[in-house]
Amino acid sequence: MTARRWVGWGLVAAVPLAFLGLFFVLPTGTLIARGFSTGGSLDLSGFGEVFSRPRTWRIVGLTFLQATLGTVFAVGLGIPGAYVLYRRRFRGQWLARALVTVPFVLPTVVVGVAFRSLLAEGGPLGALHLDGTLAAIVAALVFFNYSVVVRTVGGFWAHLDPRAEQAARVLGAPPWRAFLSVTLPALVPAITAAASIVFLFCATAFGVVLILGGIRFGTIETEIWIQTTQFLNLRAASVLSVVQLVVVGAVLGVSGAARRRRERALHLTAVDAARERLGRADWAPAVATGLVGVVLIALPMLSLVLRSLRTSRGWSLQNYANLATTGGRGVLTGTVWAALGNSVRTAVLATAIAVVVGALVGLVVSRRPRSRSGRRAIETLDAVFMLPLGVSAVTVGFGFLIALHRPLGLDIDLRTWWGLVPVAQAVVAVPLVVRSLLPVLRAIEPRLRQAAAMLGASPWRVFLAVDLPMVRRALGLAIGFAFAVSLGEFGATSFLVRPDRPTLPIVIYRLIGRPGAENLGMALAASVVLAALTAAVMMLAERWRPASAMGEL
Amino acid sequence: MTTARGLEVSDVVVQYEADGRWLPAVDGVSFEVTPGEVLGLLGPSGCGKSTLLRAIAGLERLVRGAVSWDGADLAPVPVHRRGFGLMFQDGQLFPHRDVAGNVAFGLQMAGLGPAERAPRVHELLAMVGLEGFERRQVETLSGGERQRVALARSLAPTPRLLLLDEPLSALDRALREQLAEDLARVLRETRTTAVFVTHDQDEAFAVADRIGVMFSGKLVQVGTAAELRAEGIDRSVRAFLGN
Amino acid sequence: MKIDAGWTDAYTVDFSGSSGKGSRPLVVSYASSPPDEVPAGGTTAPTGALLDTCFRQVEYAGVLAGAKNPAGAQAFIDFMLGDSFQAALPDAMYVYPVSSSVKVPDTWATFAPIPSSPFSMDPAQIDKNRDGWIQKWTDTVIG
Repeated sequence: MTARRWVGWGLVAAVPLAFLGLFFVLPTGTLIARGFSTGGSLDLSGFGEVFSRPRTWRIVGLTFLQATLGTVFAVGLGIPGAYVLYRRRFRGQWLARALVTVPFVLPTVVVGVAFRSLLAEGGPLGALHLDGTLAAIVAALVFFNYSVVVRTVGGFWAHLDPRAEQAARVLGAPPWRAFLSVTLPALVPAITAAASIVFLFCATAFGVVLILGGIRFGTIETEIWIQTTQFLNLRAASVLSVVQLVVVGAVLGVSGAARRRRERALHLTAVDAARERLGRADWAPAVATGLVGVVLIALPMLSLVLRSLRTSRGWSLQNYANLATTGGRGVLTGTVWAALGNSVRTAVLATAIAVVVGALVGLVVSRRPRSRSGRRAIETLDAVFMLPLGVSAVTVGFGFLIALHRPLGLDIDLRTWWGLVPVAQAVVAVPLVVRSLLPVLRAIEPRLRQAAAMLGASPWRVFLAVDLPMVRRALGLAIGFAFAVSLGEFGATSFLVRPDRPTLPIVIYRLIGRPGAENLGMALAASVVLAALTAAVMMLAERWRPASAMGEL
Repeated sequence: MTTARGLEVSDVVVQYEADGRWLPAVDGVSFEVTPGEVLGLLGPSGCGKSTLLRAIAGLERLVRGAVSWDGADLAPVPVHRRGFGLMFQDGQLFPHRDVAGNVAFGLQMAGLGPAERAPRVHELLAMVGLEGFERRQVETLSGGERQRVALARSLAPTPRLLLLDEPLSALDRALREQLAEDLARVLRETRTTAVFVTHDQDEAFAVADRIGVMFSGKLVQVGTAAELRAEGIDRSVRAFLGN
Repeated sequence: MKIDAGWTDAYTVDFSGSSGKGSRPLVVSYASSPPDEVPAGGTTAPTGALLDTCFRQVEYAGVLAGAKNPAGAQAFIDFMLGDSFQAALPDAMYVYPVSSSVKVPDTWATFAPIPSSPFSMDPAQIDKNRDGWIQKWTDTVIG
């Protein structure tokens, strides 16, 4: 590449680098520094303080326990689900696949409220007395992550050559044996990749744990939040953030290695092997998937909708009408519809930022330079831009709070800036945008670009004529994804939102936190509204999904 | 065209990376193509002929040597300003444009307006035997039709030099023979200077005026079809050409 | 003993003497709570405060250092100390007024007498130890 092209690409990469530098590296770095030093000098006493409390060890243990349990169940239930939904076919399979995907895109507060409504006394499963237990939290986490496992493992499985397993069957192995000795080992890269992502999401779960955990259960995430907002102990919160970063970094490392192995393995498999119909021999996985689908996925969502229509006077839409009020005893400072307006406005802004930054990142990271140093640079950039995905939203929000007062020594206070919430949401959404655009950008045949160049198109015109039309659909998907995620964002927003301009998830959390049938009813109704809006946006965006996308999400 | 000197390739070396080492794909090749001439590059798979073609186009970096047109070194000239055309084995038509949109692409890049493009597109499609195909979608074309569109597209901006990278290898035998004849005719009619890469001797003899034989990155022999048949530098070349 | 997430949960859900009709007969609350449970026009209170166990808790208002409009804030504080504001406190905020020249509502006079000798502690000492005490309490009681 000529020097001019290096400069050109450097400029393209500079915008997202600057954005992430200011709004991700700076806050995270300040956070880490806070945990390790006081007044400029290295001071590890914060670590001593935090780790000498048995509470800290309990919280860390709980985090790992719930993450492990969530991963085990999600993977264990997800493998038969992947088999039924991606390896076989049956009528209406597209609907089943869509239903299974819905939980993943629901906002965390909505899921928390749904499970609360299901398991609390007075709810359909209230007799199980699971409210406020670890089982409730794990169930909600599996609800979220089931679709991740099904799609990741299923997408990979669909492209696996069935002839290896058929050869084993012909040699005399019964179906379960053939599965265990031939198919399962071949699926290991996909399963590992899915498991590490699920572990990451479970370990950094915030909204769900906050709502379902009560005061007994918490994770490192909720503990950071409690230390910051209730005990005002920024030191302890910083120490815990560092711990969180270490945990997340380790998991990301494992996940990245598994992903690279999976991508290498992919080159060896056939493309989209033909699928058989679901038959009688498949009763076991079919029953398992059906049970999961009904009990774990459909039931909470149904319970949410049905209970939102129930008031003390029987079935009515009163809860929805109450959304125009400020809640029982003035729980809120504005109406719920006003909060919805705030949510939509910030989400639009956050989506715009995330899509611009994400598209630039996708452009840079999808290049395949000839030289090894160029390829190394691209790989590093890829890893750097993916970091926000793993770092929790709570860390981002908290980091903003402590880093954006006099950042880099400049005499400005960004903490009260109205743009902080959209920016925080954008930081969370950028990795998702990149992951949506990257497979498509990478799949563009380089010779198509070369053909355009030979016909006289300058690099900019090549982009307009070749890349842009092919990426248009994936762009629609990315926009929808970013918008849905920003609408439901809770972790970072809970730190940064101004009391007079709350977003809808914040309002739902406030409503569910106050007892009273009226507040609960409003929380349920608002959750249904938020869920419906998010689901509608995602379904619209999914129509633009490219046909054979094999991303993790 | 009134260029006097045409294409000059002198001592070109192109390398590729394998297992951490750099090996030569093209190892010191030199030849000339006079304006209006069609040079065929013949050789087995992996002999470096495609890499050499791409180096002439500017898509591969030269480790040594130079490529020049009409005496001017092309090293500082970027790909999209060389005025060369390139035709791939699988056409590489733009999927989101129809046939006319594809053929007109080069004219669009040159800044021609719709009124000037339309007659030229019509003329080219007629030349390749695809009259009336303007509005057809690319996905509906057969392999042979695709290659014809690709040829029309690469000829539309009247390139100084047309590079063809095994354009007929992906087609079946009967189609190949037919298309080779058409290709030769079109190149003659338009008096286009061309370098035509193939591993099929019959094609080379049918289309090219002169043929260069490549083997392991080196140009081992250059001459007309008759000359090549009469001589033969070494056994491997003769075995490859078949007597 | 049950630890709830906050006073609202404890008093309005788990306490047997209030609207939640819960299962727990004792709750940590305010000496000013009993009048709220007295039905309109009633003469007896269903709940009562254990006056020997009370701690004096003061709710403060003040002008922040570095305020943009200290004079205006000061004027507002003066208004809060005035009779009309103080008289409205019991019904709106469920706290006793600071001003001694203001009367509490009749139900309060009957059912929410001010404890004669509440516990109190030097504010400086509270300030010094507050964080440590909260942490210790949390660790001991909640874990």
